[in-house]
Amino acid sequence: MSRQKSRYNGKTLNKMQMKFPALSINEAMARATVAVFVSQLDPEITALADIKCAVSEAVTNCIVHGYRGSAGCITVTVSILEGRVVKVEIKDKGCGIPDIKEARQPLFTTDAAGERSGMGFTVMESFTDAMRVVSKVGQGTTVTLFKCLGEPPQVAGKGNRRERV
Amino acid sequence: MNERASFLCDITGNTITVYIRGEIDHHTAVIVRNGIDAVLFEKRPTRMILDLSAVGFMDSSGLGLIMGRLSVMKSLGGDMSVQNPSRETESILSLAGIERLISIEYTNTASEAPSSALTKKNYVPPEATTVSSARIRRGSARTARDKGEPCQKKPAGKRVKTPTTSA
Repeated sequence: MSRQKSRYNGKTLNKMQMKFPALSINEAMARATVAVFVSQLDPEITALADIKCAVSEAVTNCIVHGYRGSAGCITVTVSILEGRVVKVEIKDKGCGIPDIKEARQPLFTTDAAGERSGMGFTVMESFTDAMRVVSKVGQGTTVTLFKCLGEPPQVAGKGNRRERV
Repeated sequence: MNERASFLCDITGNTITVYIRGEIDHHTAVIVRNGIDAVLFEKRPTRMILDLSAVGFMDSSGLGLIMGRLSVMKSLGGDMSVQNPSRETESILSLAGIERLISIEYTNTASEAPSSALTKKNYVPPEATTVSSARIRRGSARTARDKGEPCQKKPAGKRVKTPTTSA
């Protein structure tokens, strides 16, 4: 556990932050922007798809459950940590979550009429390596996601040939 | 229809096949849902097939869309199945265990889908497993099907995953 904790507390090598209105039309922009920023690490396609999905879920939660359709601002901060770890923080100043444990249960939703599957947190947890949720009623929620990318792709080149000589 | 998501309906007798194309998230799910429901309530089919072969992204909003359509079909006295889930949708469908509730079928997509629903841009040559290798091989193609696996024709006939009944 301590080894994992240090992995997620590594030095920040690069960082990007964006703020945008809590409008559903911005969901695609949010996940695409995070994906573009993470692509500098040349991640596996599957890892990038997982990150996009998790970010999309978190942003949707802010819009649907945090602000419940009313105006608000969502802040997404993406950090690249040492060891090819991606940290994404999605923050809103909405209504907050009274019971985080209950909210993280599969199929739980506060918006059944809107055809919500209640799988948002489950998807986020399954598609990332770690998730942290901090929330206070009346003040908002911050979801932090961590994804450890694999080793960078090996590229055959002059350097390798020199080592074999 | 929203440019990031669209659908086409193919009506054969009492069966409607809905080919969804694009990205299904909270924003597009509402639009697609309303469109499909309008067709369902007008045509009242006994069976609906939801084809996901051209869906490049889907989050849990897509799961809600699927389950909601199942409810609508049940209210109309019919049933539905999911056909040809794309690579991008298989993970989340598997995570939700959707096959326990809805049949998932795999058919020869290229021969059955309307030509306007799928394009050859969906083909990605093999060995593209990272972003950079996929970009080199695909040039400026902007498809989300960049898993790096060749487009393989499935053998003729259907492979059906039937839902298991709970004890």
